[in-house]
Amino acid sequence: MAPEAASTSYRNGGAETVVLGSGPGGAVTACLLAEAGRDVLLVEEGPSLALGDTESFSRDEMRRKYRNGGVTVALGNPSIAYAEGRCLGGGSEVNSGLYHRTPPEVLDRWQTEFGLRDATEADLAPHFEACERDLNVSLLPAEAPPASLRLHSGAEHLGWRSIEVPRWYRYDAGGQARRQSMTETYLPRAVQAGCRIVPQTRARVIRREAGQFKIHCSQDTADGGQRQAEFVAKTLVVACGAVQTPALLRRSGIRDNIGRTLHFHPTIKVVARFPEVVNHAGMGVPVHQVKEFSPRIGLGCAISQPPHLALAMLDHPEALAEVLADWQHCAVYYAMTLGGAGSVTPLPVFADPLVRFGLSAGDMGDLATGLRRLCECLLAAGADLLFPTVRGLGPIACEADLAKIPPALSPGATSLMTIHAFSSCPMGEDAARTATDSFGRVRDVPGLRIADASILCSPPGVNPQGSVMAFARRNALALLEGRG
Amino acid sequence: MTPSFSAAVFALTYSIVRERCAGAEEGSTRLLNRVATYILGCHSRLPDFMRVPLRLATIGLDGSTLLTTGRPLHLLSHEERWRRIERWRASRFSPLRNVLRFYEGLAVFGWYGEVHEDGA
Repeated sequence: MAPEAASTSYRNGGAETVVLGSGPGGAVTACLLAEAGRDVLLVEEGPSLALGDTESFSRDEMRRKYRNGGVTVALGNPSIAYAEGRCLGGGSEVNSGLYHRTPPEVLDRWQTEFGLRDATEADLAPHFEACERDLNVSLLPAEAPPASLRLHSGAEHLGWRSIEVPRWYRYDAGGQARRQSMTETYLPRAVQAGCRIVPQTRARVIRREAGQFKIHCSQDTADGGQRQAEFVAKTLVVACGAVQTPALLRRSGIRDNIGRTLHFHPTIKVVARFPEVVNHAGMGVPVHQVKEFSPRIGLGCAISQPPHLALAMLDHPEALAEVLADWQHCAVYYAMTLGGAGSVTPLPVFADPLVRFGLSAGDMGDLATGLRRLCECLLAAGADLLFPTVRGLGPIACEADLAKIPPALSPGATSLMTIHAFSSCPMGEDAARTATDSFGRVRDVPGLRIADASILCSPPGVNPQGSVMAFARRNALALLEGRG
Repeated sequence: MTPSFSAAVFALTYSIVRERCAGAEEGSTRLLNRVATYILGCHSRLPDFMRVPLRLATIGLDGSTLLTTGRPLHLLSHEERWRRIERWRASRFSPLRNVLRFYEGLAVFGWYGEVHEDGA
């Protein structure tokens, strides 16, 4: 069940602390502050829907729970399709529930390059452990889906390191799995502790007046219209995600190191066909990832239901019908990299920000290397035909065909996507390159904090939601203790 | 006889799905209409600054055949329409290719979604 939303009687109200955004960062923050007795109002742009209200990875879910129906793009050469949740619980409601801690070497780099303090592996361990308990992060109790096992077997054959990634799932006595998310965990706790939730309300601009924040919002009405609403807060926590947070802050005149360092995990896909059945209707989330080349390159298996297979076959239209007729023998795999950088720019008149992203020749080289490694792994796993999402690059059927992959992929021929966005407002003590201090406090704006993937200093090389929650927990406790 | 955004979206959907997707025989207009409606819905949810340019580009594609055939794209036969689409897909002008790719992606995703998600 989705947590009960507050009535619209709050629309002209306020709170000691207002949290904008109810994804992993906002939900954890709101929950901890409310449980500590703070007066908290949580404002969410999207609708309040329960986890089970839509079928996972369906078009209905995309329409109701994703921003722009899941059709968003960072413009560049090549442009990158990306997806963001837009509902109560944010991205946690629509993802695969895979969980990672921030790799220690990434934390070391953040400390060295950004002056991030009090964020070593040991500093963060209690926060990761708490989140893992709350979300029941665990390994599969049964065998992984066959498409996932194929990737693992290919890596083992090559002597590469491959792991089963734990997930946010809870299992009942009968072994039935239930995915966890913010609407299943932190948000009900927040409401129980007195937090008020206002869904379908979008913050348009924030102003600081007389030591308080005024948050000007537009609120969806039951008849499909919109009305203006304003909230007042002493402390404001912005957790709208790596694109919307910098867009809101820049629109509000807060610009220092905001929105100029957006990062993704640019991802290229391959459809692999196997002689044996590897896919079936309702196949669970693939859980294996190849870490041999991490963090620079990660390999994994993606959602592979027929519509997703069809989308990944766009660069091989001649084989689309054949692959879809044989879809139970096919699955989608990916190679994820770290490169490139982008920006978020609010546009006059328009509500949606312009997102731009650029990849260098070296970044396209990393993508080519990732693609080659992925194809090697899938061939070793027994795949008999591979279709990369590169226009003009024909199918790959054997190791000799790997020579067809150029040293660097052509930007004009390569289709990229991502579901990971971060680092648009990085944290740390190096004021020249960070937007907030090490605890998410926005510089020169007392009382304003950021608690989402925006503050991650650079690409973590793994799904960022575990990192987002751990930092949100650390920073919320620091706020309560008056430390940060 | 005038170019139309929604008629163009329906025409592009019909052509792409019939040419690319298995099972899209002539008789399945109910499913094809549902896919086209899905694409129109996707267009309406696009980032706001992209809607008008894409709408204009689509109307432009629809009207681009007027000079040579006297009819907009949506009134051409499937064969004639597909010849044009293939030419646009191979164009060296990347914005044109991107528009076609937008419709191709949504059409195949929508079609196989109709067939597999809904068990139609």
